[in-house]
Order: sequence, then structure tokens, then C-alpha cells
Amino acid sequence: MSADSPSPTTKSDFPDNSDESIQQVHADLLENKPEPKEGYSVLPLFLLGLLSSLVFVCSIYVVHYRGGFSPLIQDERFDPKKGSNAAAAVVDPVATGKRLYAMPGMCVTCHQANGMGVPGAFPPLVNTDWVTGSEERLIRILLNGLNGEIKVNGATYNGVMPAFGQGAGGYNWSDDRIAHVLTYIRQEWGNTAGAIDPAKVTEIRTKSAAGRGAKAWTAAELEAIP
Amino acid sequence: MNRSSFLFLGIFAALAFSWTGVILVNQLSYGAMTPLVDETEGGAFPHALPGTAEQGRLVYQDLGCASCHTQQVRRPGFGIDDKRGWGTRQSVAREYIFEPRVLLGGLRIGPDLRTIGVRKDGMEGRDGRDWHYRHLYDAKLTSPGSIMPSYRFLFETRQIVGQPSYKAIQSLLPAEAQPQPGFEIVPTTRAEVLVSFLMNLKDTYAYPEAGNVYVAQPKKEGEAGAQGGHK
Amino acid sequence: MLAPSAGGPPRLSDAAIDASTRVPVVVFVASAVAWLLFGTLLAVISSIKLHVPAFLGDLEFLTYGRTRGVETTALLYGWGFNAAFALSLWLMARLSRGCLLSPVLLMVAALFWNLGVTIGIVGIFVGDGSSLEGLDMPGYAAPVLFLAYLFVGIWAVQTFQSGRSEHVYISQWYVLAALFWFPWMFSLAQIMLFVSPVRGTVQSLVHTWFVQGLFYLWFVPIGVAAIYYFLPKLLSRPISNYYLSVYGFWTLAAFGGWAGMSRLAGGPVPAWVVSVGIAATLMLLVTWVVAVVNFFPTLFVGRSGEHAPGVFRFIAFGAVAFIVTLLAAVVLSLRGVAEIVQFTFVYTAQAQLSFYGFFSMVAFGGLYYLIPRVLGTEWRSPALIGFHFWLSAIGVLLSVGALALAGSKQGYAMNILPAGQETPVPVATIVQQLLPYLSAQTLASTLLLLGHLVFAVNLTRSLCAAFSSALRTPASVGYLSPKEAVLR
Repeated sequence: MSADSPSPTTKSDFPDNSDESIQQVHADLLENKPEPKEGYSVLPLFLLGLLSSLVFVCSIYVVHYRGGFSPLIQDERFDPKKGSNAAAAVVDPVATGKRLYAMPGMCVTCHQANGMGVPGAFPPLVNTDWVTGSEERLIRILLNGLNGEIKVNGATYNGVMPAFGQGAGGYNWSDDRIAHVLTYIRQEWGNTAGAIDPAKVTEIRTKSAAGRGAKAWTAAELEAIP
Repeated sequence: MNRSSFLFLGIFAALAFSWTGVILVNQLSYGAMTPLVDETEGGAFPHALPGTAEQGRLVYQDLGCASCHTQQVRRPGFGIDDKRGWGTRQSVAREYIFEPRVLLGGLRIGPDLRTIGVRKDGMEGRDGRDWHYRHLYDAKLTSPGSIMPSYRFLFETRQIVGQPSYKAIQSLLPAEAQPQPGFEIVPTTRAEVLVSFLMNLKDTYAYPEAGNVYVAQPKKEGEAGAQGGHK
Repeated sequence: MLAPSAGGPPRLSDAAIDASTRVPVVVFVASAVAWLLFGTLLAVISSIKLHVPAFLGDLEFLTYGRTRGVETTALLYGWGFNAAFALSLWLMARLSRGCLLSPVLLMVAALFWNLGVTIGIVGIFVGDGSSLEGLDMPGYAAPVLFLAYLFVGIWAVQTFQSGRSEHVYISQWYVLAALFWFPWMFSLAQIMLFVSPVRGTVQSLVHTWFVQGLFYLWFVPIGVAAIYYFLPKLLSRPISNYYLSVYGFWTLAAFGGWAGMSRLAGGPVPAWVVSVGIAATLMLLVTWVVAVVNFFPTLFVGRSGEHAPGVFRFIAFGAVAFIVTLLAAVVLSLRGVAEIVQFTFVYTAQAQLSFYGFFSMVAFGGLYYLIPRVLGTEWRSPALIGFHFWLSAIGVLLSVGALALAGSKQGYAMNILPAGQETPVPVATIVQQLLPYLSAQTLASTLLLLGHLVFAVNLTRSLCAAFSSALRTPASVGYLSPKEAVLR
């Protein structure tokens, strides 16, 4: 202990700047409590107030801008519980439909890349009312498949169109996919028909054609539908 | 427990606190993020870059391109990255999972490069590569006023032996940069792979999490298409 | 507390302690200054390349991306760390009131550290750089640096355990904390970025955590430790409101590791990490208030004898710069501000202010104080200290000002589209408008280089004088001369 060096209690009592006297300040802090005084000293109170208010403000800030503490949320204002305030994802149905059509083993295998089909085997998709006409018929064909004879552009085809819809025992494509690929064929190769809404596909699958399942359509049944 | 042990414990706890919260928690929550399988699109996103593009990434790293160019697009509304054509959506964490070194960058003395591969409209194939070669040879040729240094050392001037190389780029350069007759300027392998890398920076897939952006909703019923339209 | 010294061991004089630190301190300081000159030269070159891109443009190894990496590495790891080691080991020796143990260990540490930094820099020049700002060295330099640090760590523990002083001062807390924190941060960063890289943007989290931690948890503690020690030394009065310093220490410890994460605002990282980073930076306002009430009154209130005004100016400048830079860090972390200043020169200005204006100036002051005491001779050219100060002060103020102005201009043009304007201003056009500021920054870097040359000249002359006087009086060779006897 450096008992011989004066312990500074006030600013004027700090004559030498030796290391011991510097450290004495820290020792005094730890060992000697300050004399009890009237009133309070403003500074630690201010610091305490600052600390408390900062903790308060920062907690509110973090909770408000936590983005659900999710690694998938980069926008701090986004609240995952209120999913509806999300920005819509931009999907191009024609581009998606084109990719779906061309997937190996899918539509392109039978109906060909030019949509002309194979004479005597698979019907064309070009310039035919089956494609550009009624939505109801077209969607049903994809949902549940088609068997038996069908007359397309004057020629008769007798093949098997597999089912692509959910719950039809076939490829189990989502309603979105069916809508996209149909939208694609309805505007390709010179066809100029409107897009298909996925909601319409869902409606047909769950309501109008509910329960149809794996039972494929026939041309006669479809023609009966307006 | 004496004072110095308490001090050490406190010091250790302080660092452990930040490391646990910043690094460990996130490593556990998305450190094993996998690509998103999209059957509609028929693939998994993001795609890992092809081999030459990965080599190009090493060239990007070695030349220190990240000191002037960033590779992160900020969301529309936070800055104007979208209005500059740097991307229609923010860059999401999933995009980077196949990158051996994620170089987000910290300073934009030049434009952001995250979607440079799709940015030069209509410039595909040879046209796109040619733009990049010109830009690397002398940035002022394609971007007047640019302070990007010249990467002439990525090209070599060599004698034409037999047929002129189809890779030669001197036709893209102005008169003062032409080599002497009988010589051609070809990109080295480093230039080629670097350009492959840049042309493969084109992830524009619509990740679902890119839609996790707050949009101030007017009070209205039937927000059709707000969530639908994609799986 | 520390190992109590029972039975009254010999009380060592300052001179004895200083003499025991002589060789390691001189090695660290000499390496620090050498790296400082090299790094500042590279800084001037990089700065010129921004407004004269063709400058040295044909040399591949001097391409801007590489010179920038070398500049940062040489200044941070070459100058910054060597100066920090010199300061902290001298402070620890002085404050623990014991002679420096294992000087050989420290010399080996210095050797390996400089070897590691050299390997790293050569690696960047040949193209193995990591391209991660602040961690540009290739991974293969790290083991050498670890080995060096291991020796420093062993020494620190030995010194702490064998200290003869019963008391601890806040500077010792800060130095110990920094010495403890750095190897953990560095090893984790090396493992998670180089050895076994983590996937995706977790890498960005690790990188930002490390680089910001380098500031908040290494350079700040060491710089602040030096300020807490040198101010009372130079002014012969204690730090005002010293009892609050522990609050500053613990808030820095608790929140310093988080505070830097606000840099990733808007990036492909979870939003909550950025929010917590901003909150932590706000909490550092407590540290800021403590710094203000500790340093400002000490500096400016009351008149008492100033020892060595030349040295005092550096410390005072550094203390004020610290207060400004910490407040700037709080302001820059807010998302509204970050939206504009992100990816601009404003961050470069902040780095310059914090590393140069604060840490380097404090280090200069500290080195100017301790070197004559360690060598046992006065500075050969005391007038040069004044030159160094003014060159550095004007240089850093010009640099920070130019970069801050350039950055604000850049930020407004890059990130805000004024109403009525359809297309944003192209980047190349914006950068052209910044060129005058970048030229001013080159001038500032040149002034800094001149200041460092002045320092180097002064140091070399003083070292030579000390060496030759040591040769002339053979009795004083060794750590303790008969004159520097142990006091009883």
C-alpha cells in the first residue's frame, strides 16, 4: 500500500501525478464511501434516468421492429401475423405456362412443341374451339382427363388424356399450374383467347365438378356443358 | 468469488452475449437454409453458378471489385435501387446460400451488380459479353465519366497466327486502342470467367419471402391477388 | 483482487518499470511506425486512384481493389495493433507496478505478428485477398497472427497474476477486456468465414460483427484506457466524476458487440438483427455520456500544470474525436439516416474519424509520452512533435470533412429521387461531382503522410541517440542501471 502518498479527495489535493495516486482514486471509489451529504448529486441521477429511458425506448423499438424475429423477413415493418400487408409477388403466367408445357413427359410429348399434335393420335391445340372456346370444358379436360372419341378441326381422335388436377389420381398439379398452362396455350400459336383465373379452376374442381375425381370426361359430356 | 474472477466473467459474458445473439442464433435459424423447390417452375432456386462463373467469382474477389461495387439490392422504398433498375425486388438471404464467399460490399462508387446479368436490355450472348469486355478494357468506353480503373491487364495482345481468333475484341475498341497490324487483343481466361460470372448474376426468381414487404393498406375489401397467384 | 503483496515488497520506481519494458516496446513501436508509413503511402496511392484512375493503372498488383485492401490491413493490423500492443503492455506494466516479465516472449510475439501481417499483405498483392473489408488478409496469415497473440496472451496473464499493486484502475479493466475479446472475435471470424464458411448471409453477419467489434471492442477500449491514464498524468488532476467510468465500461462491454449490426440495414439479413443493432447503438449513449462527463471537465475545467503540451494536444484531440465519433455512430445507425448514407463515403469518414482521429491520435500522444521514459532519453527533436500534431490534426479534419461532404452529396443523389424527377442521376455523373472532394482527401492523406514521416524521423533519431548513449555508458546496458535503483 502506498501509505506515504497523499490520497486525493478534492481536485486541489492531487499534487503528484504518480501512478499510485491515480490508482488511489479507484481504491477510494471501492473502499471509501463518500461522506453522506444533504440532497443528491445530479449526475448519477441523470445517468440513471438516461439508462432507464434508453432501456424503455430501445425495448419498444426492438419489439416494434422485430419483423417476427424471422430470418425470412428483411423489412422491419412487416408483421407476419398480418400476412395481408405483403407485397404481391409478380408471376408471369404465360412464361410459367410455357415452362410447364415444355416439361419433359408433359404436354409437349403428345401435343408437340408446335401445338399441332400427331395426326390420328393426339389432337392439335391450334385454332380449335376446344382450346379457345369455353373455359368450363377446357378446365375440366385438364382436371379429370378425357377418354373416347373427340372431333377436333374435322378430324377424329381416340386417345387418353390423363388427369392433371388435384385428387384425380394423375399428376396432381395445383390449380395455379393448370391455370398457367391453359393461359399459355390460349395465347400461343395464333390463339387469342383470354387467360384462365386460378380461382376459376378451384371453383370448378371443388364445386361444379366436385367428386368427379379420376372419372375422365367424354366429349359428349363436355359438349353438353355450355 | 474474488474481484478479478468477477471481472473476467463479466468480460467473457459480454462477448458471449453478442456472439450468441448475433451469430449463433442466426446460424441455428437459417444457417442450413436450403433452396426452394418450385414445381411450377420446374426447379430449385437459387441455382448454383456454373463452373466458369464460380471461377469468375474468384477473379472478382482477387481484384477487389467489392471495394466499389455492392451485391445487394435494397427493397423498394429504402433508397431508390429499384428506380435505378438494379432489381425489382430486394435481395433475399436465400439467394446467397451457394456462394462460397458472400460479398455484399460496403461502398457504392459504382452501381450495384446483383442483377447485372439481366440488366443490359436485349444484350444476351455475345452482345452481353462484348459489353463487359469493353467495360473492363476501359470503363469510359461504355460509361462516360466513370472512374473505374482500366483492367487492360486482363487482356493480352498477341500475334495473329493463322486465323484471327473469334474471341478477339479489338473490333470493339476505338482507333487509339487498336493493336499493330497482325496483332489481336483477346481476353485472357481470367477475363472470360469474370465475364461469365457477371453474366450469371441474374437471379430474378420471385422468392415468396421477397413479398414480406410492408405495404400500407388502404382500408378496402377484397385484395384480389395480394397473396394468390403463386404457390 | 490482484495477488496481494504481503510484507511490503520493494516499491519499484517508474524508471525501473519503464526500463524493463524497453526492448519489447521499442520493437513494437518501430514496427508500428514502419507499417504506418507503408499504410499511409498506400492510402495516398488509393486516394489518387479515385480521381485519377489511370494512376499506376497498368500494374495489376496495384489495382485499386488490392491497394485498398493492403492500406486497410497495414493501418489496422500493422500500425493499429503494434501501437496498441506497445501502449497496453507499457500501461499494464506501469499500473500493475511490476517489471515487465518475459520480454523475450513479447519480442517473439512482435516478430510473429509482423510476419503474419507481411504474409497477409503479400497475399493481398498477389490476389489471394478475401475482399472482406477489414478482414482482407487471406486465411493462411491467421495462424501466424494467432501464434503471436498467444505469446501476448501468456504475457498478459503472467503480468496480471504477478502484479504488485493492490489497486486496479479503469485503464487496466479496458486493456484486459480488449486483450481477452480480440482473440475470440478473430478466431470465430476465421473459422466461420475461412476455415469452415457458414452458409449464405450468416457470413455477412459474422463479418460485420467482427469488423465492428474490432472498433468497439479492441480499438475503443485501448484508446479509452490510454485517455483515462494520460489525462491525469499530464494534467496532475484526477479524471472528473471518475466513479462513473465503470458504467461506461460495462455498457460498452454489454452493447459494443451488438452495436455494429446496424450497418446491415436493408440488407439480406433478418430485420431483427438490424433493429437490435440500432437499439444497442442507442444504449451506447450511456457510454457516451460517461465519456463526456469524464473527459470534458478534466480537459477544460480549471487550470493546472500541463506536462508536455505537445503530448497533451494529441490526447485531447483524441478524446474530443472519440466523443464526436461515438455520437456520429449513434446518429448514423438510425434507419432513416442509413437509408441515405449507406454505401457512401460517410462511412469512410466515420472510419477515418474513429480510427485516425481518435485511436491514432491518442496512440501518438501515448507513444510520445512513453518513449522517452522507456528509452531513458528525451526526444531528439521536440519541435517536430508540434509539426506532427498540426499535420495530423489538419490532415484528419480535412479528410473527415471532405469525405463526409462527399458522402452526403453522394447519398442524396444516389438514394433519393426528388419529386418531379423521373430518372435518377446516373452513378458515373454523381461520382464526377465528388471528384473535388476526393482530391481534397488526397491532399489530406498527403498531409498525414508528412506528419508520419516527421514522427518517423524523430523516432529514428531518438532511437539512435538512445542506442549510442547506451553504448557509451556500458553500465547502463541492461534493464536496470545503477542509477535506476530499486527504491526502498
